[in-house]
Amino acid sequence: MAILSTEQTKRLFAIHGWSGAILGLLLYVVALTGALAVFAAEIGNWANSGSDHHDPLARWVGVATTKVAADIPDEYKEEISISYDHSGDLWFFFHTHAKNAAGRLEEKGVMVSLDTDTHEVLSWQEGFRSELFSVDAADALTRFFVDLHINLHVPHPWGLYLTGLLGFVMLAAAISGFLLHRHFIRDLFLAPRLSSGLLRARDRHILAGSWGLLFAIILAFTGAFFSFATSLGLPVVATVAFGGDQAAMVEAVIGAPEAEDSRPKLLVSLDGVLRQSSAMAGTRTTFVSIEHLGRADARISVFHEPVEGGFRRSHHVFDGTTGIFLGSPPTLGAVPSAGDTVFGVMSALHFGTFAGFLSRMIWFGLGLAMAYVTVTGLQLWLKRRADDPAWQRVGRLVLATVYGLPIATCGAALAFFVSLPLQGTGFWTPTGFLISSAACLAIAWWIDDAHRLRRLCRMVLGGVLFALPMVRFLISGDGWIRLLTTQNSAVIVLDFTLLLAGAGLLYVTCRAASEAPSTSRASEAAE
Amino acid sequence: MTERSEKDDTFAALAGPRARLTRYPKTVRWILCGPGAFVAAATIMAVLPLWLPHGEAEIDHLVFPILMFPGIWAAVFFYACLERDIIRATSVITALIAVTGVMAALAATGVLS
Repeated sequence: MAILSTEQTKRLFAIHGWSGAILGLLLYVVALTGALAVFAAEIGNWANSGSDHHDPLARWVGVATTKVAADIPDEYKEEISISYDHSGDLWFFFHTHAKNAAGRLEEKGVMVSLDTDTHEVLSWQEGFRSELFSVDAADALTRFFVDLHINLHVPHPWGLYLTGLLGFVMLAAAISGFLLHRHFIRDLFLAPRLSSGLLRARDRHILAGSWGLLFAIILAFTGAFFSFATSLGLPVVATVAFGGDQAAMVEAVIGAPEAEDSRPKLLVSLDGVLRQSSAMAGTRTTFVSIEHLGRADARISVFHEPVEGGFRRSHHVFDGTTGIFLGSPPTLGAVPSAGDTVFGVMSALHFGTFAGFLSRMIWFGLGLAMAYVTVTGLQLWLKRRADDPAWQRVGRLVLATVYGLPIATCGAALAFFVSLPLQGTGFWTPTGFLISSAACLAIAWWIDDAHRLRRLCRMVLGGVLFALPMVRFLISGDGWIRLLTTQNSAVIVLDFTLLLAGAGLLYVTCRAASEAPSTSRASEAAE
Repeated sequence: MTERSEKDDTFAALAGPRARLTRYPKTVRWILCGPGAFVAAATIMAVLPLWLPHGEAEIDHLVFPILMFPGIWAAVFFYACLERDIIRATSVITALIAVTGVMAALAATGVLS
């Protein structure tokens, strides 16, 4: 594509190859979990076998708030966050702001969960936000793999630095791949050559990489932005513009607080405000925040899902004592600005929410393609070094990771289901993932033959994929007919997809094993 | 035996770093592409709030440097990778880091605003 000297081309090849070889496996983890995170809400809904409530915040939340607030210490009524989990239970977080053990300012208060229908208190916990959010049993599975995507479960801020660097690696690999392309249009329609394993791997890598090139650049750019924005960008810009005062910068970006009026005054009917906000937005309420409950300066902020085809969620602010609509503030700044618009576009491009379900499907598919490109790139690198015993061991590690990650994710889901009735999902979901990962790595260490290892991994993956919907049904007791009557067809679609994927993988693996003559095993193992 | 003049010593002092750069071009290139590009991108991001327009909401000069950080890094990285003359690449990136770093430090201490 580009006119480059031989020396420059060699340098680009070195960067393209080594960046993938060193960080390719971590990049694969981030790419695959990112593809799953596109449907995090649907997966969370499936893990809880759907919910009977499709708009939990429309069901007498005001009454529930008054009931819970009566038992909350006044110091925690500075702000209330109201949301719901994937099982449809309501969550209230009454909080103030205090310094945690690490000396950082964090929300501290009481977190209460309620049954949406009966308003029965299900749990009551006091502490800092980071401690309390880990007790939400229903969201443990989605929270686990979304965190794996965001920070690889490495402590803050190092996890964000790591995923930010992975974003840079992906950006470097994508741009260098584009510059190295000599026939970009032709490569979009390349038929993988079957004459040798090396050529086939190269052609597959080029084909998938060509189709996903623009997507890779967009995702790498936006992903690196989201990782570095709070971990590096905010402190650096705050240092220069505000002498290091991050609070002053946050105030400049989200707007200065209004003048305080601590005179006692009753809260307006919250349910009335929520109904008015829903009528204005036309979509489901996702989050409610109340500031200064019981005071004259109370404010109610209501957030809604984006309208179909739109990419920005609605945000309405109401006076907490009169219920008067005060406006729809932008995400950043007090008035609309170019910075706020570009920030919104970055979010939509990274999460694929700019055209509803269709764009999310495309983003999911392209996310899987990126994971595939990473794997085929690693395979290509290993094939060129197939005679080196050290790289052969790396090859087994790559195989164990490529199949081990989806197996371990399924292992985490199985652990989630089994521990759900015991409310122990917060502990058992990551434990299930770790046990499954350790088992995959141990098997890869134990089995020398790459062909046998691949076949075993495929069989195990097919088996757990097929088993997941059945375990979900056995634990929850929610069958397809009940799910249909409660309008939870998304759970059925996911069940069906998993059964089909599992059965397909088992069939293909068994068929290949029965057809493959023993003489061709050596050549297959090299792939 | 001829005596070394002051001029010769200056040339020798200048030739030292140049010789080292050209003797280990691969190592220098890796340093420029790795930590060099990252530090340059961070210092450029740090000084951009001084130059960018504030916008109606008074936030554009704060938000855009952070939004542009990956793009700045990519530009410096590929310059460091593709520049044919390793001495020029080293000079440009070192100068970028020095100038923007000093300006950022002056801004942080309140000398520049």
